[in-house]
Amino acid sequence: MLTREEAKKLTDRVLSMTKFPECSVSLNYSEAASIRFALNGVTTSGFQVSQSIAISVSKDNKTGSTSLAEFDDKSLRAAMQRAEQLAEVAPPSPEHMPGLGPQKYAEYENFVEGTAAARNPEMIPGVRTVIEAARKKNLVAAGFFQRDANVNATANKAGLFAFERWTDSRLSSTVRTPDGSSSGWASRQSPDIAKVDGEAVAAAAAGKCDQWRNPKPLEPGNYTVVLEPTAAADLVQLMGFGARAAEEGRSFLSKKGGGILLGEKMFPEYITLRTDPFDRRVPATAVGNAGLPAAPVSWIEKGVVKNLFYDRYWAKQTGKQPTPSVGSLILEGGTDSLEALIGGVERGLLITHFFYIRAVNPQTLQYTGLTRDGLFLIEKGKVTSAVGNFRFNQSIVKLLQNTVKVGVAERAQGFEGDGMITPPLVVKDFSFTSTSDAV
Amino acid sequence: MEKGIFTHYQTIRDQAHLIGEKESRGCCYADSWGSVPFQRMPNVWLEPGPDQVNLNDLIVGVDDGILIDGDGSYSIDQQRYNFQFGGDAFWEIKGGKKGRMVSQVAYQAKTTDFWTSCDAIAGPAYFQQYGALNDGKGEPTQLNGVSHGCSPARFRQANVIQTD
Repeated sequence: MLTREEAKKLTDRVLSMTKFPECSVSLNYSEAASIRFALNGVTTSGFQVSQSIAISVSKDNKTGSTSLAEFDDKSLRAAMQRAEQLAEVAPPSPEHMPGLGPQKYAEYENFVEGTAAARNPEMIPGVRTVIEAARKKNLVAAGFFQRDANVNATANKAGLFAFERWTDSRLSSTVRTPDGSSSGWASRQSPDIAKVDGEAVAAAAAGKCDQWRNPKPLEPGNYTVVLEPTAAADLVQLMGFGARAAEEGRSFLSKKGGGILLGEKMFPEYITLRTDPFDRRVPATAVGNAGLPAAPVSWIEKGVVKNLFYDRYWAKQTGKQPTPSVGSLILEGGTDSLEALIGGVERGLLITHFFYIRAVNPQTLQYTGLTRDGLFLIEKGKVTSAVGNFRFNQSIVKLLQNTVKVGVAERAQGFEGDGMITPPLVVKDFSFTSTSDAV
Repeated sequence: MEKGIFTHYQTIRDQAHLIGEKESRGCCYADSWGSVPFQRMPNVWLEPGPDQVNLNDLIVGVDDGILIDGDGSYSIDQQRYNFQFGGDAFWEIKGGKKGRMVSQVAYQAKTTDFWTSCDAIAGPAYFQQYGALNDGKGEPTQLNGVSHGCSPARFRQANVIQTD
């Protein structure tokens, strides 16, 4: 892996190549090892080393940027020249912010050596567990196990130097019947590869595929739903708390007629949503938004909107402090297991996760997408049958407002986005608008 | 598709033999040197209709409908059964005339039902080239640029929903 000293030397070298008053450099280096499997066998074993440098130069509020993957002097000088030429012809940005000066970061990193060193011997047991579980039930498993170790170094002419390292790993699998009429899916992820539970992925993916056979069609409409953690993460991670959009009247946090909803109780008491870059379950670092020192931020506390996100420009415009962190979202959980949540539902649907989720109305945070890989009917506290897939159209604001119960929180990540830490949720009046024949 | 009949799959070399063909149809893509190449859609166009058909001809034939212009929200399931699309601007069509603008519109359908309901396409003079740079597929996700071109087209009895 690229060391702090090597990164400093390289970014210093790039910064010395321009006479422009402002220059910032972002250096990325990563090593990723992976196993891909399909039809109950390994198909690909991969190891990929990636590196890139993004260069940005500014003069008179005019900025030019470029990036490259070759680190020799000739290539770096050519890239710098390109960035300078682009800056010369770029229009000045009225929102340009000068480079951030030196910062003091917490002594924290979530870089697990065991993950960074892991190759096939560490990943094959998890893959084998999934494939064997599928075979045992006469099912067909496909999936991906990847671990990565990453470095980012950011430096600028104003004296900033930030160096961060992190690791992450993830095993996910789709298990289907040989005739393709049923499908189950599961995923587990952790910065520490030793904590990725292959047994859990195997049991959930194969179990759901087995259980979802012969789904019966139900009419679309509003249902009480139990969102498994991945289904909850698929949607709740899309919450945004931008101050500018709120203050300009473009967000769910804007008040009708002017003003913002900061400080208002918009959600039930048990809804607390926050960012914590220092939670060991997520691959975050001590370097936060735009190079600021990372710090925890509460967005919703006990149902009340506590903070909005200010980037450096909007903070300056409004006389506020820029927000140190975004991402690494945590929705606080309770103590109830998923089974206990299901047990409390008279009639509803249990949702594994969603697919192809896209914004319909950014102002109300209404999204559309489809259920996938396991949708089940709950009757009198018990899962009674498999149900055909639905398309939903649902505001995430209303989803949190209609949440009636939360379970135990865990890290969850679906097909889209980085995921988050979230409990399973019981939500009333979740809106399904049509059916889908997809499996 | 040729004249409404499905004629060929979009294949890569590894798939051609599965359907008894001797060569691929050139649909293998990777989004960088470091990505695994796989089958995905190439550029796809809808042939324009006859020369003499214009946009107004399509509108005149509608008693109660909606004219949709531009690109909006889009989502489709993994087997392309159920889709939902929005648009950039919408107008009511009443009695064969374009009326007032409306908002909060999206339409949902099953792919084959939707295309079966297409009963008119405007001529080549109305053909425009569009596309997307961020078509996503695969795990880990790869992005691909795709070009799509078409003339205005009319679809009967599409399921239109009112969004938030």
